Amino acid sequence: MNRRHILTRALALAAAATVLSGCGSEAERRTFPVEVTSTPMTGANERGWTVTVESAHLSVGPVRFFEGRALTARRFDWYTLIGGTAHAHPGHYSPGDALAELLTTRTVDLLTGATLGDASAVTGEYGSLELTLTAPTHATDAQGVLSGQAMRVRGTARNAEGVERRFDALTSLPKPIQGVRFEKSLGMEAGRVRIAVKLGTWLGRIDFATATDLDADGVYTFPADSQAQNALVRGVEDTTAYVVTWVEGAAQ
Amino acid sequence: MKKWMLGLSCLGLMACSDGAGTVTFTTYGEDYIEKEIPAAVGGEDGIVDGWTVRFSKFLVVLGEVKVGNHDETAIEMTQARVFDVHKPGPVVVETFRDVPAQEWDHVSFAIAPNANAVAGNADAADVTRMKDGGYSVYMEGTATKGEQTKRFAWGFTTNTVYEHCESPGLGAGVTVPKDGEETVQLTIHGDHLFFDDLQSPDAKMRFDALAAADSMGIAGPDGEVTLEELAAVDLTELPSGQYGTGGVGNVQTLRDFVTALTRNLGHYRGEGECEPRAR
Repeated sequence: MNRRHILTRALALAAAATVLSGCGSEAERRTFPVEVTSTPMTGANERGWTVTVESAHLSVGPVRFFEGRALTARRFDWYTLIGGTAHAHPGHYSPGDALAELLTTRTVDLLTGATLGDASAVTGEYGSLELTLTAPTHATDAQGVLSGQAMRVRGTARNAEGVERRFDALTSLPKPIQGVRFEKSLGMEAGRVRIAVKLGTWLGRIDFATATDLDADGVYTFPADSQAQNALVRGVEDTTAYVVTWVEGAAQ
Repeated sequence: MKKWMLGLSCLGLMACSDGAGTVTFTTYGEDYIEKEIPAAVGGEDGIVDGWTVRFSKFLVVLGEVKVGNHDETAIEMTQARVFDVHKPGPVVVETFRDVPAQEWDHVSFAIAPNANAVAGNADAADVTRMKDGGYSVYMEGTATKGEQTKRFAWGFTTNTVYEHCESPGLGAGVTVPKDGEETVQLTIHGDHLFFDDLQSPDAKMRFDALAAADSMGIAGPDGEVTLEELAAVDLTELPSGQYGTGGVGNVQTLRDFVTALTRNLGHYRGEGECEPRAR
């Protein structure tokens, strides 16, 4: 079933809330802002590279919220943690009913953050969201900061041996990221959703020594079949790279 | 839609719980676990890189079977049991009698370590193996491709509850017939251990990377692929089109990957699905 239709039905539920009163379903229509920001990378990554990020941009949206909970660990045990945050095999992701959606696509400067817009929503038990990292259009990236890709990070990586790599990392994903954790019992309270991109997860597994394509400006890019590009893609599609929280109070 | 159904069921349940019936839960490993997972030939299902997998043992600790609805739990299994679903099945997990005859839309069960588990159809030594290792799932087998053979014996401590089980043909939960018996199969899908993507519906079964771990590993290429060797394989060193985590976080090695797949072995009435929740 088309998810937009699911949301339409969920919104219809809200309109019919009075019919169901007494049976536990009293969804109400509402909106809430969605903002995107980032958290910095600290320390060396898994491959021993310390990164100074000079710019980070992301083309993001639509964002859709669902009632289905991501697969989450409940206690601190490594082999339960690796279950990660999604229903975890082909055909098993079960987002459940759609509860909110924001159809806007924007290019966001992750180092400053930005508000994407207001999501059309209903109240209810939220469990997860789907994040689409869309290749930008001229309208959404007029300055071309993303060079046609969905994300771009530029910076300098240094390792313990003193090797330094100025780099320019870009990629797009072929499909939305599903099953990002967002557990919230949402009523009519004021607030907004904040999606924080963990740059440390995006860049955390990259061996910058495998970034071997050097341009005229002395900047290395990642060959398509390199470990660096492989690790970048895996980092960007990792649901734990996106920390979604509800921030109480009116939008800033 | 579920909420509509819930609303309607609030009215419906008040007048539809006369009488009682029996529910029997069984478990079954299907041909893939009992016989083999074949190499894919033509357009048929199978392992796409030419390997054939045969299990010689496939142990699961099944417990916490629950039937209920939004408001109450009708029945609950209190004794976890160890099953070897490589043995011919289906086999009975537990029979519940005098269950109120009505539709129960919540069925769940757990595949989880349990120090007090007893034998289902598993041998006593295997029950001890599961309890001593703290395992929820353990399997032994071989994979063959031409002249190559790789053995594996893997135990996992994952603790997973499978909730909101639903059959494509029969819907959510189970309907208990008045004065009758309903059989519900908790199906174990062993082939899922070899998928090459954690989320894509286009995932394929592969074994090449798992087999190659043997030659990369701690003990060297001795013909056995160990979990320690799988832990030494970083996914970023595998082809980018394979072993995609598809949005599942914190999966970095082949061991992480296979372990994550064990959270989806449990199915419902054949091809039915449940929502796995890690504990």
